[in-house]
Amino acid sequence: MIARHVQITLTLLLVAVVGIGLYMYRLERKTEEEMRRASDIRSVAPPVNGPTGKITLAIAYDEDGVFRQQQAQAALPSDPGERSREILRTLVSEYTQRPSPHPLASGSDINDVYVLNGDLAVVDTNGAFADSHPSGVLVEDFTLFSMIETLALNMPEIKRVKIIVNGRERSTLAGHADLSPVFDVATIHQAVENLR
Amino acid sequence: MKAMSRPVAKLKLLSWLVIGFGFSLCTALITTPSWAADKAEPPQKRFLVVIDPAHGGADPGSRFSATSNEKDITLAFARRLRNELQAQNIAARLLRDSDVQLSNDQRAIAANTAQATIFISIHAGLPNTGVRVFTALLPGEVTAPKNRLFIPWETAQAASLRRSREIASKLVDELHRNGVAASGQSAPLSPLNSVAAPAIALELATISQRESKAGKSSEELIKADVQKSLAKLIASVIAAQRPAEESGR
Repeated sequence: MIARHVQITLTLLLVAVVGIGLYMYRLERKTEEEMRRASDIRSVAPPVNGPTGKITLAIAYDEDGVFRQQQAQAALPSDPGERSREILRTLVSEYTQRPSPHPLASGSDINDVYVLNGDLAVVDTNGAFADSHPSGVLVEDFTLFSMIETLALNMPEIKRVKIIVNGRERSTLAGHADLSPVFDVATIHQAVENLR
Repeated sequence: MKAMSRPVAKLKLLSWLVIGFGFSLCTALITTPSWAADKAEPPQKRFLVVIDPAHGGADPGSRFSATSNEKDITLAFARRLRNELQAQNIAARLLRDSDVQLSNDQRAIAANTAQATIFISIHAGLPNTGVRVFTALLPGEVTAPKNRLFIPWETAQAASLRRSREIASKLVDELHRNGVAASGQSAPLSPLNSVAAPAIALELATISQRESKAGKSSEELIKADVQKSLAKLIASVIAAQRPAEESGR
């Protein structure tokens, strides 16, 4: 006959083992899902119909440490948010191609751009954009500068830009460039002008 | 006899009280700031360079190879820079002298609490070779607050930004003069914005992509003699700022 207190202890241990097992299983599934999302290189938004037009990209050249303007074609919907997203997606696609003057990982993309109060653009990048971004002060800053300056060149009504990742705030892009501030477009434009 | 000794004792006590009061008065007069200010020289600002080896602990910074992380390179170079500054009789302090993790706020708090005269953050990164010198990126309209009692944390650098840019510019010029590739620019890089003293960040880019991919160790990536000569050069530029900083320019 097993003593009562031993029975209780064994039951509690059994419950704990089953509980931990279930928790581990859920955790593993969650991690798998997050990894799948991070490595998902499919397009995050449907292709936009509408007229295409010429846009100007501020392209970063890491090796030379400068910015140069480049013309490109992009779909230009009338909605400011959609238009901004298409402009930035065109920019990011320049960087994900090989060879690139400022290489970004394939799968990097812009989830969405929300234009608030007419002058604030909230740029939501996907997880792969930030998680696989090369780490370094210069390379991270150049990505931010390039995105903000490209918006400034094509959407002059945008005066401030906030960058988020997968709908959430993030402290740095890849360990260096500070993503916490709302960037002043005029200040970034001045910084880029000094690097042209 | 007894009747005679009592007034003498009282007199003695009174004398001691007078002496004690006089001594206290003299001490108070000597130590009173308004009085001392007339006699003493104006207090000289202490010149202290605070060096911040970026990253550390669980935050490795850039990973150059399986065995080489940015945090190790920044610490090695920061130690060299401290030694070079101390060799020039300049007080220098590291924010971390081991593999520990500090938040950016902790770094700014430590620098401000130590009343740093100049703050230097050390980074290492790709691509190219040389030294990139960064200063804080503050919105154009941010200016130094008139009321110095309370300074906004996110723009504490505003009052020192002009000096930060001057130091960065002198450093870039000096590096060029000595044949080292160098550039200067503004960057949104923590904790520069929250440091209430002239503050610069250096990104040592003395590592070629080819060497990094070859899996060389941190020590090999930035060779000791290159580190030493760079540290010496940077220390000499910082030392040249001493008169201007001490005079409170």
